[in-house]
Amino acid sequence: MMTHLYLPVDSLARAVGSDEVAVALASEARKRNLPLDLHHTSSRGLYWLEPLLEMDTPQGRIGFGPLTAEDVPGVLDALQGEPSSHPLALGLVEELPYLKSQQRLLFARAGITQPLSLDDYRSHGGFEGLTRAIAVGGEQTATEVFDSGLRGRGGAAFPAGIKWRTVRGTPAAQKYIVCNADEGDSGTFADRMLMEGDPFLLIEGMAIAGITVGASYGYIYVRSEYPQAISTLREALDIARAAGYLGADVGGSGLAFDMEVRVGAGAYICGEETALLDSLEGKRGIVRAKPPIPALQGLFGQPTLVHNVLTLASVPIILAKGAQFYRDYGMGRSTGTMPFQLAGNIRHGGLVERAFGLTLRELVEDYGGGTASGRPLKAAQVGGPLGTWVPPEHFDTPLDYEAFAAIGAMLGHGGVVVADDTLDMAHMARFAMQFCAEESCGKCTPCRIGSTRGMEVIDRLLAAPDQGKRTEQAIVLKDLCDTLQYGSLCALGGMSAFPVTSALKYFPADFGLQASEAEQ
Amino acid sequence: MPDKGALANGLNCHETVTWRGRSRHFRTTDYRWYVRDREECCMPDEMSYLPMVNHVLERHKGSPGALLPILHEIQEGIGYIPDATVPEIAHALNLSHAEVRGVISFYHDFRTAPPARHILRLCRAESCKSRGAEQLAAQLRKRLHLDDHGSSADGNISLRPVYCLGACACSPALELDGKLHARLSAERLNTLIDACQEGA
Repeated sequence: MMTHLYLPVDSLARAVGSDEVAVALASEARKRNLPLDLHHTSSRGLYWLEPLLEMDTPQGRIGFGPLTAEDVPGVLDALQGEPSSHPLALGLVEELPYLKSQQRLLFARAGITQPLSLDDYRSHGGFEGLTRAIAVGGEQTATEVFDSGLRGRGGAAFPAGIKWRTVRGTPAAQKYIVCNADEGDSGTFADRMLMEGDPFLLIEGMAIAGITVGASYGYIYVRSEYPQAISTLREALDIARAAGYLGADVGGSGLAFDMEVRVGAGAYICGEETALLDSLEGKRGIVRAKPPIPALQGLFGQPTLVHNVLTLASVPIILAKGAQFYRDYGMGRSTGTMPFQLAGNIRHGGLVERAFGLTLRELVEDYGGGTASGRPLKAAQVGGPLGTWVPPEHFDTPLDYEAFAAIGAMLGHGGVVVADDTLDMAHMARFAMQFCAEESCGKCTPCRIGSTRGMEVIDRLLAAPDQGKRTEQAIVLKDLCDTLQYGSLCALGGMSAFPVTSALKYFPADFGLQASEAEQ
Repeated sequence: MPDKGALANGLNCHETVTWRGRSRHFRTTDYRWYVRDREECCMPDEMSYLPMVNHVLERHKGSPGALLPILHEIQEGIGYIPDATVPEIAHALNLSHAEVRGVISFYHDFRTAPPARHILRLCRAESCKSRGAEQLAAQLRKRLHLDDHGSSADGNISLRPVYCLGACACSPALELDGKLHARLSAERLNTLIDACQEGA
């Protein structure tokens, strides 16, 4: 009997050895004369279990992980005999509490389908959104997106429906869809997972956006650090084009839409939408002043719909299931689901897609299982390198855009980096300033000069001989952070202050300060 | 990514090229090795890249905002962006030399000198820092006697910091010659360096 096995081709699964496991499986199966059918799927996002090998059984897929090539003979023994006897056996993968309790809308196909199989995509609900968008027409599609309450997933959380209506309502000979896949924030990997694992979902979302707002061309701007996402997307575009989902007649709509992948070149600032547009135009990635907003004058001066990968990938399900279905997830003004990403010093790192509203504690402790080192948890940085360091006393805050704003933090792209008590927050604060200095585009003074002055002030603060001098420098630092926050042109300068002020506020001892001095 | 076959075709493998009144005969399909061999045995001659560069320019110059794709392809083919290509690029895209140089210098990825045989990019962002990336960076500096941006004198290895490789769920991570490695330990890092030094 043919045994069907599933192993991820996700770049992170490969980075922890899934290629080696695949090679060992093939050679061991040959030795045993065992007929194996190995399917290369996307990853479930349960990265602490990668490489995760799954096998079809009448009850569902059972899993083994994390495997190494040396485990392969033992696993094959177990598969031929009693699977649950193997020490790395996990049982039914979909019954694992980590996965079972998630609400996977965007990542519904993660770990199940093969990334470049159009048949797999279609048999799991693919292109239903596009079909419905074509059937109901542009006006109704834009209304559905508006009614779903979908907000931009890149970090700013701007209501997507308003952007769609603006671009749709602006007459122009040429409009563009731009997908921001410059996922530079440390602690985030959902965009990468989606592009490597389910590229047709992004293509479908962009095609819907294109025919709805009247744009005939799109660009996916992917960072160069994601070579596998780039090659997977390029292959997927060719497949989708050949199948008639892109080109002169998108899915039989009579409307034209096509797109290409453009590759970034290692500049973090190009994740900022206007810098990204300049980069697409072949220029240095310099931030533009707004207004004009890109929805009116964006790429090459034309109306442009710029969205993050996850925003565009949310569109097909909104169309397929209706705005109301999507609205029913989430809390307050944060509707739908968010793929949170657990990273850093965490026992169970991976992707957790849940409706907005669960608390940070549930995420870090229940899903994440605490720190990987086993040491006490010190803080979690939510929302990337420009996010606030949240101390454990704020962990009961629900993950919702407004609730996080209320504690002076932000959800950003949903990345959570966990740190144990060995991480020195003064070092991290200095790093935030150093990062801003290295990645600043140089257009506005607070960011270009303030970041370097920030590093110097932190160095002086740490080298200060007595309390008085330290307090003096802390006051200068806070003043500088104010200038950065309120005087910068874009979020890089504006939010680089967040990790610094939060480190200073919650962990003054790391700077050699008393709590009362840091409060001043 | 440039298609290696197309590169070869663009060049016809054996070709006599005339550029600015000088002509040169050469035969190769893979510029990177050609360049390296040349530099080890004779004077560098950046002129030799021009047929390949012109081929890239010819294919891209009609598409809007083509500068980044062009620079990526040139770097992919040659290993870096030689200074002699700047006037050609500027001319094809109707830009000033300064505009082209400004773009090359803005982006961290673009190199203007030949790379080392191995490029090791250790992630130094928050997630990897929280799992000991700084200790790994110190280990690299000590073992290779290089700073964070250093290149070994024999041209074997270059260190580059990188801020996030998207492997944050299994930090710390690095990229060695385009291949991602995660869940690093001091021992695994040593093994990877050993492999680089054996091949030297």
